[in-house]
Amino acid sequence: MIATTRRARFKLPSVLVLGEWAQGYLFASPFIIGFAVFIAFPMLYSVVLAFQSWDLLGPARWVGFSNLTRMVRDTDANLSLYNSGFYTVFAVPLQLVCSFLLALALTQRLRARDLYRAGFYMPIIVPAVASAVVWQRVFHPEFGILNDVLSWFGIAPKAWLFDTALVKPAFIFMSLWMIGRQMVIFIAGLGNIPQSLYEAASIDGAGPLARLRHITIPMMTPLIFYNMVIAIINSFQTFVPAKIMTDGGPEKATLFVVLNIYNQGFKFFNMGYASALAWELFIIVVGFTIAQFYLSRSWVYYEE
Amino acid sequence: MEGRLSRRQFLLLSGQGLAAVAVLAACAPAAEPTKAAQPASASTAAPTKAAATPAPKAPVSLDYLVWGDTADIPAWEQICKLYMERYPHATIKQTVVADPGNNFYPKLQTMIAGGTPPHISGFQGWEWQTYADKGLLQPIDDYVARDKFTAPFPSGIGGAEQSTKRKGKLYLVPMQIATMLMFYAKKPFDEAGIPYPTNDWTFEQFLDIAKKLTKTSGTVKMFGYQANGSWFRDISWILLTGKREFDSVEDPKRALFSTPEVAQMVQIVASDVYNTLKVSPTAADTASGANVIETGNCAMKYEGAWYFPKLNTPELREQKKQVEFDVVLMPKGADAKRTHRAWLEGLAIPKTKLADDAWDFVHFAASEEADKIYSQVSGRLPNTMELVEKWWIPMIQERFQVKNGKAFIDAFKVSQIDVISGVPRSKMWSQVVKPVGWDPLMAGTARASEVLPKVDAELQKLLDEYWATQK
Repeated sequence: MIATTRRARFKLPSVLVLGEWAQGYLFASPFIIGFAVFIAFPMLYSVVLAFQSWDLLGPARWVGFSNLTRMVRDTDANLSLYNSGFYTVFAVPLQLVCSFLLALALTQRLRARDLYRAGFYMPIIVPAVASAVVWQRVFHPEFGILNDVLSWFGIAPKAWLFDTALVKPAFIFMSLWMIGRQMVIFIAGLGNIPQSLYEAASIDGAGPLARLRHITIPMMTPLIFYNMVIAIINSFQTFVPAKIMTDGGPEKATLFVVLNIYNQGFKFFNMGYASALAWELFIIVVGFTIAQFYLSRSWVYYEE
Repeated sequence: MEGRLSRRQFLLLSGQGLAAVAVLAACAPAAEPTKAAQPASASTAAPTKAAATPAPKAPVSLDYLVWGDTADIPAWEQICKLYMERYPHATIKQTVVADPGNNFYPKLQTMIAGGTPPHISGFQGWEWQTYADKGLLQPIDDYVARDKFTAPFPSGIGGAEQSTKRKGKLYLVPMQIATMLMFYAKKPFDEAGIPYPTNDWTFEQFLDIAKKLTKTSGTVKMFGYQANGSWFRDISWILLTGKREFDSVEDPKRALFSTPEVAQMVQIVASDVYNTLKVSPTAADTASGANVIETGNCAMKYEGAWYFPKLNTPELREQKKQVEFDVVLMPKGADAKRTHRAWLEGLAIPKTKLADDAWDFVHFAASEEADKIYSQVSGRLPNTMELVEKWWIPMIQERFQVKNGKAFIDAFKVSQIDVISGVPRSKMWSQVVKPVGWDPLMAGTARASEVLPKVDAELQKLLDEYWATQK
């Protein structure tokens, strides 16, 4: 019996099974081919490019590790990392807090609740370029609505996008425009918390804040963690607003990592160096993500 | 039921069918063969066909990468339409690039890298040389000789030859001769009771007028001068000093931005006008198109003829939205010659298998008939001095109400081209001059004497790298 089973393990797949595999691969082939051609190959090719100098016009030239050493010394590259880091450190917690509070508010019994939910989600479906143009107007020093509102409180108008001290806070504030996706995920999570937990806590005398602290937040930690990971990745990839609204200015205060990579590639035509910078970003983002997964063991609660 | 397909079988067959179609499509010959990044050796050979051959031609589709702003696009639409009517075998597919100042060359460069260069491309007179050096452009000497097409290659204009020729070969067919002058809106002068500037004014008078015209305390701001915030345009001011930013305008080897005379002028025109004199709107003031000359909030601006349609056209006059303006030579400075900037812009032919057909279009576009359309719609100067004198100056007087059009001719007589180098000027600007020099100057966070030595050092690296590859 045992021998039969062992023999069966080494049996070649039947024609029927092979046919099913073929069908499976055939149906998956649009993705497999698309992934291989448009993602895997360019990624691998960019590894090669990172060791070359290429201006798109002539043949690429092998330059060894010079792009990597340049990356370490390049003040713009380091500044762009700082800018992206600064933006991430402040924008991500703010986004998470605001979207969580918004989700809490929009899970209460409110009139026209679905309308509010749709309204807060709406910016997600607005093209990023259009959003950037709208926000450019919002921040306009002379005609912007933000300065108009601030003037009601006696605050003098500010040149939000033209002042090195204000432009990053302005971008962070603007990032709240896009919290609809996080909000929807939180709303879904809040709906899945068993009501019995709240009932039990209420019987034990827990008030709303205690229920929030001891039930809602712990139960939501997997989703908070998920939203945080995605938000950090997105923050490091901020590009469109910086390109459209400030082009990295004033004085490189919004020169974020991806904008710097774009500039190196498509403005200065240093494709090899741009590839090296792209891989630097990839490694940083992957590193952050791994670190978060490691740290998540201590604060994310998964229900058994 | 016997013979009925299951859903799974249906999907499978559909998938197989689609895959077969995709494979067949992939195997089909390309619609139009172009081998871009690799120079097509066949097209480097002398043109073989006669210019006036009336024999019917096979249908041909040409991709044309259009340089130009909103005023140019309707002009090109008219020219392309006319060409296709005259030569029905040809289809011209225009690709227009939004914000060409930032996006045109990246678009062209990626098209070339992708192996699909346009058959015809617009070019500024100082930017195509890098492409020619790399063997990507078609020399046109043989076409020009064959067709005896000499009219649009004007003589007697500084920079005309450098704008069209490289290392003895002709590459660019001019669509326009270009220079820039000081534009002034008449209303602020009238309201302040200040006489209009004349061709013999000086730099000191310019600054004085700009200060007198600036009034920014009220709800409607008026600035005396709208600075351009760009090295290219500030070259016009640098020229007043009699010095240049490089040791040579063609293929320079040394950067000289920190020369005391240049630094002093750059300090004024790239920084003081915003920060201490405060006669020019800052980037914040002009955000989203506010506080500029065409909105009636600036009195003077250094511009080119392409700006006419934004200020005063019959259509704008009909809507009573025109800005009454005229032009004047740049003020006199230390330079006794009073040099102005001048260059040519036009079309070049990237090397493709359709270079002969591309030439036919280029030849037509640069002809007097088509060039007049281009000039009339866009305001730009035409491509011969004869047309400028006999046709363009009366035309702009009537259409755009420019009275001092002759100043353009005077400027050409004392003109010089901007730097032409194997390191493209656009790269010098975006990689070094802007971030290291002009940005901090305009923000008022550094002085020219501090940043321009750094600009020189960084540019020198680029130049040295370039020359190292030429050995």
